[in-house]
Amino acid sequence: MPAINNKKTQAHINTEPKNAPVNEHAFTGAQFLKQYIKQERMPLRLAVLAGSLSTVLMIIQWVCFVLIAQKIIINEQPITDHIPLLIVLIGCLIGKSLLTRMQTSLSQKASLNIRQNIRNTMLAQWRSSSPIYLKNTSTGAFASQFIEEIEAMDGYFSRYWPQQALAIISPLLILIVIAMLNWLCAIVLIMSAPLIPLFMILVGMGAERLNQKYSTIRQRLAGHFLDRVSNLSNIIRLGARQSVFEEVKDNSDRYRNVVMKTLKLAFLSSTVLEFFTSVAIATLAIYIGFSLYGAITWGPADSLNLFSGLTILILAPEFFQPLRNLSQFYHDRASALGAANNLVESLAIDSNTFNTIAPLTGPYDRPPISSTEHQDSTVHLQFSNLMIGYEKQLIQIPNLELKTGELLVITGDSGSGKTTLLNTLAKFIPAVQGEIHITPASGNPIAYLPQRTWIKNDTVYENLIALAPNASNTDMMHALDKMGLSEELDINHQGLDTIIGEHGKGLSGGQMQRLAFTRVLLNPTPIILFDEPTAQLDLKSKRYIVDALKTLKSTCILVIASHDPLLVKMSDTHLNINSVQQGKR
Amino acid sequence: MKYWFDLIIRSLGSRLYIGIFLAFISALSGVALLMLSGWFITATAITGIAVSAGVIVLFDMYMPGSGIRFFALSRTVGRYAERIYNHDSILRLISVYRLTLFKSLSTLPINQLRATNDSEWLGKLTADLDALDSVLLSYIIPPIVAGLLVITLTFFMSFFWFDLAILLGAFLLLCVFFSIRFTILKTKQYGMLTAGLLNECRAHIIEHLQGGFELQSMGLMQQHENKISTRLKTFYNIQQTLNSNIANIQLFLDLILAMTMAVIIYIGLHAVNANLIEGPIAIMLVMLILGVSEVLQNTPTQFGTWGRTRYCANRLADLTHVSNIQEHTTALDNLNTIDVNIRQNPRVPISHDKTISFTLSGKQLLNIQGRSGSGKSTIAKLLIGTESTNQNNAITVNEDISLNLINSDDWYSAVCYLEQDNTILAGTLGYNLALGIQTISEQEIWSVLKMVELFDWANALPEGLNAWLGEGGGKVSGGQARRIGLARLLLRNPKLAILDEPFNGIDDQMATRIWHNILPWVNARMLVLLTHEQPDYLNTVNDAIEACLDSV
Repeated sequence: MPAINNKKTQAHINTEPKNAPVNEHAFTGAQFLKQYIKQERMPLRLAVLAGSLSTVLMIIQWVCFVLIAQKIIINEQPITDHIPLLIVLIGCLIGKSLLTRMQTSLSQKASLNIRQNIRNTMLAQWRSSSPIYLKNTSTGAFASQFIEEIEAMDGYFSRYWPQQALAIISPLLILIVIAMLNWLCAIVLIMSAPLIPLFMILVGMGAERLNQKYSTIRQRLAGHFLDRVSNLSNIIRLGARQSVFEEVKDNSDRYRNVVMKTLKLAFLSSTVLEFFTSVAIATLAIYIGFSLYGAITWGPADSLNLFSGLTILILAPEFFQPLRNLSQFYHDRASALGAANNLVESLAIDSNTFNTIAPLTGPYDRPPISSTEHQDSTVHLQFSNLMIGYEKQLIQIPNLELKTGELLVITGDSGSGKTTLLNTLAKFIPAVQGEIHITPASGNPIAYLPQRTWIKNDTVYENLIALAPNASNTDMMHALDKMGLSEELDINHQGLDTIIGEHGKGLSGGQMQRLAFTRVLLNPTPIILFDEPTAQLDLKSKRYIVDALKTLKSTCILVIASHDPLLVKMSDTHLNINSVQQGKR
Repeated sequence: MKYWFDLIIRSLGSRLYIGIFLAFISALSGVALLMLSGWFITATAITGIAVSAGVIVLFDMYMPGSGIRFFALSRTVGRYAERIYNHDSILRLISVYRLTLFKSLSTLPINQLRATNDSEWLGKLTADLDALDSVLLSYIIPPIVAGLLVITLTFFMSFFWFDLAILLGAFLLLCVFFSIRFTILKTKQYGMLTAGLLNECRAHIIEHLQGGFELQSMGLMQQHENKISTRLKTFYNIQQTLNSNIANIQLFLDLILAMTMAVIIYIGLHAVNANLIEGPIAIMLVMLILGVSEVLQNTPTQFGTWGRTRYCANRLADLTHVSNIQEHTTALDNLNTIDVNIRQNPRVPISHDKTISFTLSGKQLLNIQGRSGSGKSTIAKLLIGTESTNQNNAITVNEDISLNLINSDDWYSAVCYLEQDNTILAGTLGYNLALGIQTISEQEIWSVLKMVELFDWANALPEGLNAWLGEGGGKVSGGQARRIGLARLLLRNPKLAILDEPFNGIDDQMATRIWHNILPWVNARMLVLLTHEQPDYLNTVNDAIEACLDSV
């Protein structure tokens, strides 16, 4: 691949991104997430409200229960006297469940909307990025971000974020109630509340340091399995199957040992939470018990009775529950932040990538070439002091002029700049100096057929319609016939619904190229660019391609990069990049 | 799924029982803490009132107090032990999964192995393996612990109120059972569908991005997005239905448990009224329901992932089932001649116009020239066996044995292949060079490094042969990686060597020098050399055969 496609060099060239995306100010992953949460703040806040109301109902429910219990156990009243309280209790039980349901559905809907929004942003980013950047970066990595990483954010929006707010509101409500009943118990809880996060953070920091110490080894061991699997065919050919199998076994064991070392410390942080929770409950239970017995008389002990004591005991675990839930969802936060950071990085690069193509808002409207009705006015293509390339290789293009019906062939050694010129014409990379004039400036796109044809793992119809949205079935059958593909693709059996395999499996290079030309015939643009259209073709395919080129030539301007002498013979202008001047700024 | 359950039970053995026991202990401690505290407070309240009324009551304060402290501690310790232990079990399981997969993948015929270096496929593999964690942590341990908990508590309560305890216990067990069954029933389909749709969308995204040049040039990228958007909308809808179903089942379960609680409260306090049981026992009963509800509540979310896990588990199970391999049984003692006939091969354009035919024998060198797309690598792959031979693409060895009948291991020891793409494994320099060779001396390795002009570089490395080469050869340049690949072959003694653009990324002068160094090795065997164009150094070989695949 010529070095011109290096995205770093692109950034050096003066770029003025048009169609720049909206979120250029999202610098960190956390800010990125915050921005999307802002868009859905209504449902998320309602979810938090539902959760808070649920807590309120829970408090009322237990207060009712303990009230009834006190009356029956201590005052020995019959339960039938307290039916209204029972009804309130049952009502709270039902209401609580319903509110939880509501909270779940609100936060899940919000998460869905946010994920949809982020995905739409990514699609828009790709739409406005130079295709050179898109092709160079691993499409697998992009797809992984788009699908898996964004799905991994679901937990953060639907579970962690509402829980963050509830972890403050719920304990506060409970604390107020407990404080009203017994201020000493409230103090016990108030003291434990900040201590827990404090210790968790301390242990967490220690675990993190340990993690860092082992992180290199961990990464190597973790990647080992995938590395060996991806190189499996080589391993088998080299006769190393058994020895690598033993390796995978050993490495798995070593990985386990290393991970356990760090986990033992990491889990301590959640154990801290459990410890404080259990100890707080035990302390309260014992204090209340001893107070009720009369063994403790200082402080507010005298005011305790079954009602207050039992209420405090039941509410105490609920005080810690939101924090426990939060720690359970903590890894949701970590994965969301990680994914957001990745996204910000790739989106930020995208926003700097040059792109001057204004995406057409509607389908490109141009009748297929077989129509005799349309009469396009002649289009002129002019190079004016054009210099292309990049820092290390600047090429001064001689001033040329082409008009409809003419063919320009660019020849030269590979890497000499043929493809660069095509990419500059297509506006995928900016010209270093000078201009390309197209008159009349109609804003029509410029079709580009790269060296490696893009074939979809889909029906023939879908393959054609993607680049020729206005083509009718008849047009398609006619064009396929013209390119000799009708029998070869067995179109007669399943028609346009014939499926083409993954990555054009089963198709020969010639057939793929002919399919590309079928698309162009169905939707020719006034200027068409071709990169090595006749390279490595069997004779039959080559004949069809040359015929198609002749047909297209009559109504378009064709620019072809090639070393085929036959095409040079057909050309009206021949530009040999090798013999062109090395440019200077 | 059954396959994975069995595998887990088989490989973990007693670890499974210990893990379940630890989880049970910590769950029981949690409930016991609540129950004892509730009982204690009620008992002391009653006693306290009696004492202040002047009644003499004997009440042991300290036993319950110690009990409460004990349960608080056992809950904490139990939780920690359980998490550590079960994570260790999971890691052992991961190891078992990996080995199982590796073993079955490595026994596939090599022409089916092509997919394994596809990053898309690897990504799916990783995601699938991760999904299997749920099997132990969500589907095996929690239900068993829940069942044990209910049984133990029923047993305990039966001492106080036999009939109610048995009834309650049976009811709760049924709750667990039906909530699991119901959840799986209502979510399985959707879970599998969502996993499948996501995969589809992934493939569409990759296709969409690969079409960037064509789509962007025509301004039709947004149009093409529509297909992806439609599929995504379907995905969102189904996901919403899935979540909705889980939430509804959760609501239903919550309501049932809440009603159970209400009933117990009524019955309990009524029984206190009727002097059937004492106050503290009634409170203890209510605390029991509270504690158990917390444990049972999680069932829908745990089993809601069943569909997705099933989907991933099925895909992985497919990989581990070795299909009927045609036994390549013919042994190969010696390699004398190879006849190659290729026509109508889709990836070799010139083969449509004329048949490619050649015979190699003795220690001949064949140089096949052609630019990219001409089909050089396809021929190499046919020779090495990565692509299957058939009537149109026939390779015959020693004049009468068809290549596709030869035992693979025999063939691989007779033939060596240097691929066009560098394959540096994540490992040290020495490891990469000696991969697959039983015994080799350092001396031999250094002399080979000298031949490919890597001696000085390797010598200057602080760790020498133990230098880590990085993931996918990240720490070496393209030219260095190429030479390491070449050096790997030089350490062997195959009858036939296939070199696909061996000096790619290496300047011409170095290429010529290296060729000179390896000439003795080259001359000692049959060699198929694939290059872009005629190499300058070829004039050093006397009877080299040249063939060109370019049509233009």
